[in-house]
Amino acid sequence: MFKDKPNHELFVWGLFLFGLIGIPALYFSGTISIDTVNMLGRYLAFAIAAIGLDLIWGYCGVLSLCQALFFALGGYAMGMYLAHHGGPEGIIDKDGWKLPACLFVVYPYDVGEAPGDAMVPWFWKPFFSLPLTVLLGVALPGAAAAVIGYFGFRSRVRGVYFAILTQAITVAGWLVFCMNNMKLCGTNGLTRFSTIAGFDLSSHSVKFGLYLITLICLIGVFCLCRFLVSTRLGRVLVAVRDDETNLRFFGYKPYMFKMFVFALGAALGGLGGMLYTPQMGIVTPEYMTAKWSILFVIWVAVGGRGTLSGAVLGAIGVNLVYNFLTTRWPEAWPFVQGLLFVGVVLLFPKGIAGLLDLIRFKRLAKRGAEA
Amino acid sequence: MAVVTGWTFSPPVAAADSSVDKPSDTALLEQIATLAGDDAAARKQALFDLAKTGDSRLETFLENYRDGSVYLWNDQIVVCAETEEDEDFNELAPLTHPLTGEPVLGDDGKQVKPDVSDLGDISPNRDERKWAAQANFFLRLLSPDAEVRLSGAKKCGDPPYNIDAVELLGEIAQKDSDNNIRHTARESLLLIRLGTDVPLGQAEERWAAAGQLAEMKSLRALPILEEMLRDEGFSKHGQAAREQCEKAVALINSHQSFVNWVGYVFQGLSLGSILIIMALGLAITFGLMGVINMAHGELMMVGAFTTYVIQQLFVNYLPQGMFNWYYVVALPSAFLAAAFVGWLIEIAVVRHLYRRPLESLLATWGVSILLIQSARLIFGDNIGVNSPTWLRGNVEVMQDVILPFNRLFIIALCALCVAMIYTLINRTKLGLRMRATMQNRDMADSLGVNTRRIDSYTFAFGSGLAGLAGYALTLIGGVTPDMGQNYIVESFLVVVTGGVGELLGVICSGLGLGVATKVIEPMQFGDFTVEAIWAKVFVLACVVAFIQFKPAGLFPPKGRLADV
Repeated sequence: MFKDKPNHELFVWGLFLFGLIGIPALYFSGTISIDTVNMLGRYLAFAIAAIGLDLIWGYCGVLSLCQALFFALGGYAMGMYLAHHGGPEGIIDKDGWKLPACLFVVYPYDVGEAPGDAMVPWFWKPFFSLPLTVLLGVALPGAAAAVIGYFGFRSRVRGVYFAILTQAITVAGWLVFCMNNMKLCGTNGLTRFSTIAGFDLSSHSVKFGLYLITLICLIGVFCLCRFLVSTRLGRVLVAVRDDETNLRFFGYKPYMFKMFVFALGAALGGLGGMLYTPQMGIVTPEYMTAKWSILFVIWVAVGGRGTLSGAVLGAIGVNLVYNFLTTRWPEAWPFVQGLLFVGVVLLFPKGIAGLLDLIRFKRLAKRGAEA
Repeated sequence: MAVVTGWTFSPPVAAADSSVDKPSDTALLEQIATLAGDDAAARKQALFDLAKTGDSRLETFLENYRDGSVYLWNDQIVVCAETEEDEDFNELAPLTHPLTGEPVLGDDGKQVKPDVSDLGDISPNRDERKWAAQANFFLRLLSPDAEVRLSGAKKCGDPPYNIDAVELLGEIAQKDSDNNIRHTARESLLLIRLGTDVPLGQAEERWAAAGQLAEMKSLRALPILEEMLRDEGFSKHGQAAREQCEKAVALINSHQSFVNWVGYVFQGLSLGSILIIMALGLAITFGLMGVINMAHGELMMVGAFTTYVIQQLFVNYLPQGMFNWYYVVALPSAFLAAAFVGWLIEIAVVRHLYRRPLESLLATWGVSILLIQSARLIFGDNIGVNSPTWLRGNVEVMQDVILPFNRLFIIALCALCVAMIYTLINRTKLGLRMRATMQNRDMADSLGVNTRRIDSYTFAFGSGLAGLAGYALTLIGGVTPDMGQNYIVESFLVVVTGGVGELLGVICSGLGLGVATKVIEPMQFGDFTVEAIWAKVFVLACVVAFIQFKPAGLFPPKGRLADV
């Protein structure tokens, strides 16, 4: 079944296998610490969101700069769930809800100290149950994207304009989430988590479990998207990218397809955010800044857009480099990052995936001979 | 109203004119010397005479006198603010001159420090202390310096009211040569009348003052009137008084909101001007060349840092007096530095991406990170640019409507930029070639236009404009390596809203967005005050809605250009 797959996809499957077998083996043999596993888990969560972006950018040709916003929305959904079930006990509002501690870190109250008449805001309440949180964490970004997409695509806002529009929306979201009176803890973000579904977040086995769940989610998302782009829908998406006007003349409604993919990509972003938060232990508006929205794009570009595998390779690869450099030469990272952007765009427009495909294995030659 | 101190002034309002002879220092010192005399009446008269001189140096002296820091030493009046101890724990008093405040020098050229016991005490009694304070007030009111007189006149009317100054204020309100001072003195006079309790029967004048203040649209009266109306004991003054006060509050309030409005619109104009300068550069690179330059904000930063460098050069290598010129020199420097950096970016990066706008976004974002980090490593995070003194004042165009010079300068700079661009594009050969290249690159090429070079020039020019925006921004905002990030999204919005076809679109949308943000900011709906953040979000929502109807902006390109 692997014979007709391009190199980059094989490589990604190899990575997945290594993640499923190699990493657990290394961890249990004591070669790598739980922190490394935890870090890899976070990068895998990034990869899920990056796949979502690759769908809309790589296949549909729409550069969206609000993937970070959707990622953060998912992260906040999970963060609110975790905050409900974390922090010191004992502060109960009039309706019997336990107040999340991080809600009152803000002056004039000390951590965990709440004014007598404080109430749990209404929009916090749905996030008390885990299933509802997971549902909302995917549905909210999806719905937000559907609305943005409906207004944006229906009036045929073009590539660059759409990119700037989404960038502006991300900035607006960031500004709103930073406000203290939004009851979302302002720039401090949501923190003081302790348990997830009854399990202790700080225990090693839970961290390892989260890593495995993230990896399985990533594999699932990867397969789903692979399948999606191989169907007729996927062909229409590429047609939207390559000549939207033509497609419209054939009687299609490109905006419906774009909207669908945009919403799907956003939902994947939300999923990534939801998996990221419990592993990171904090979620702040930082993830909504313009910097992050462009970082997602960079991962996809470095990995190679329009391949799906590229998103995975880019997200994991760039972050590993980042991790490697910031521990050794913190000042150098921005230079490397900047040069990476410029270099990839100028020299390797097809990214890592493109580079991998340049390598010709013997099997390809053999297959050529058989044919 | 009785003058409590019993000083009868025939106020020498003429002192307000600088033509009056200033008593020489010797005469002043003689009068000061009287303070050491035994005659209480003469001491009082001396204080009174000193006040009449209006000499601002006496202000410190009178303060010192009240504090009891003035002494007699060798028949001289001297000041010693603080004593010090030598190794043998003798308390020594370093002496200073009562007028100049300079150290009194002995024969050896050093400051005289006699033992404390050698000093003759001439500290004032309670009455004299009061008189000295009063004299200080009059000193300011009689000062030949208009600024000091103005602040003095204003001070008298602020609570606690200086009732003793009423007569002098009345004189000033009628006779002073400066219109502004007359106005302020009259206002203070009315404020004193309004704020001073009088027996219930004779209060007519007091409430009439409220009406007069309202006619003067006195903003200073507003908090006082509101405070009075809030006071529960106010009802004893009767219904008529309340009505008069409420009427006055309403009148002044409407003036206040008008003043605020003008202020907001003006702030919006200056914010819009910066956006316009930024967006004009973007409109050229993005609109005309189809390149998304995310490093545009960092080119702005380059302009701001160039201004800083020029300032440092002037501070370090040129005499103090030349400092104000740095801002003039920085104008072309900021433009050229940013243009040069832009030119380099064009050659290194942008040139290869003309047909791939989305990818130019990513590459230039990379460039912006490089620029930010370089600036951070070279200059650090916190640097200060000081406005030149000639931009620090303000002008009052209408009563209470005060426009600071720096914001006016920014608006003027914006107008200059617009004129410059218009002339360049429409009136010069270079502009003609630029337009030709943008409209039809191949055709222009075949007609002998060096399109490569034109691209470089255009990009450099657009970058230079960003540098000018940074130069202007040093006047009103902080200079940090990542300052450009705050403006890049907004300036792109300006370009998107305005449409890329015409400069007019950028100007309209820049002013529109700037003014809208600043005007919405302070609005109130019930309990909800729109803040800076909601104003931004709201403006953003408006832009998104607007793009629904006009996807190509306010002034979309027409004809053949629209297809490109």
